[in-house]
Amino acid sequence: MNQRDTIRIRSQPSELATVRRCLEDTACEIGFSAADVSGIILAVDEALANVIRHGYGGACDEPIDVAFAPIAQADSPGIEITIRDFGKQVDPTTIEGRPLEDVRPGGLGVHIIRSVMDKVDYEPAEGDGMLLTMKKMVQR
Amino acid sequence: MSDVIREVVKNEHGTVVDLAGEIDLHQSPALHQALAELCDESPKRLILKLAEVKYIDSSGIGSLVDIFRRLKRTDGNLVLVSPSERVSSVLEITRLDKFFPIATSEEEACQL
Repeated sequence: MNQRDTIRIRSQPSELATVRRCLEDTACEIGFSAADVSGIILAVDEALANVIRHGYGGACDEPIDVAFAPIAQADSPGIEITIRDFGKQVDPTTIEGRPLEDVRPGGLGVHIIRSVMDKVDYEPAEGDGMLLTMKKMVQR
Repeated sequence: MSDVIREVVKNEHGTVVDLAGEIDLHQSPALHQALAELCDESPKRLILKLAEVKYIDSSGIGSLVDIFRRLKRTDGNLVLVSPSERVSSVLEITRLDKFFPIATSEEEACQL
């Protein structure tokens, strides 16, 4: 398995389950542990939820492109996931998780993404919207 | 009623809610509303059975934090029972595994 799978969804919360199913299959095939598969699914789900809530302000009919591609390294394979939206552009340096000591609803998504993934890069996409690239390697 | 609520039982120990399925951005608003309505009845405890919850995201966790706080205002308590592996993992990542009272059985939850 070495191809890149791309899914276009609408910014509709009910579509998140579809992405979770596809991602679970891909991550399992690459060889991630069950715990890592769960973490990767959670991170991607949180990133998509942030796009829906913040990038599109809750609008439910905007496009989001999600792509998964295996990283082929003999000693340690992995996965690269990109999420491209066409909503608001923000300064990537302002995207950060809040302190967890402050227990309150909301604001946990970025913390989860950065905790789970090995590499997380936000950048303004060409034209409009944001491009998020996340990488996770299989732990040997 | 939220799709993830399987059963609600009210007894002398409080209100027991059996949850199942996936609590994500799609399901969280309805679940939060249903739990908030149960909070309005000021139960001594709200016991959430989580063994059959296969997935929860930060919107679901956020709902639980809000419900916990609502109950505290009326001296009530929120107790989580037997969270599944995936739910436990999210609680650990968000460091809320020490914030919520967690029991291994409904009987134990009734003592917390």
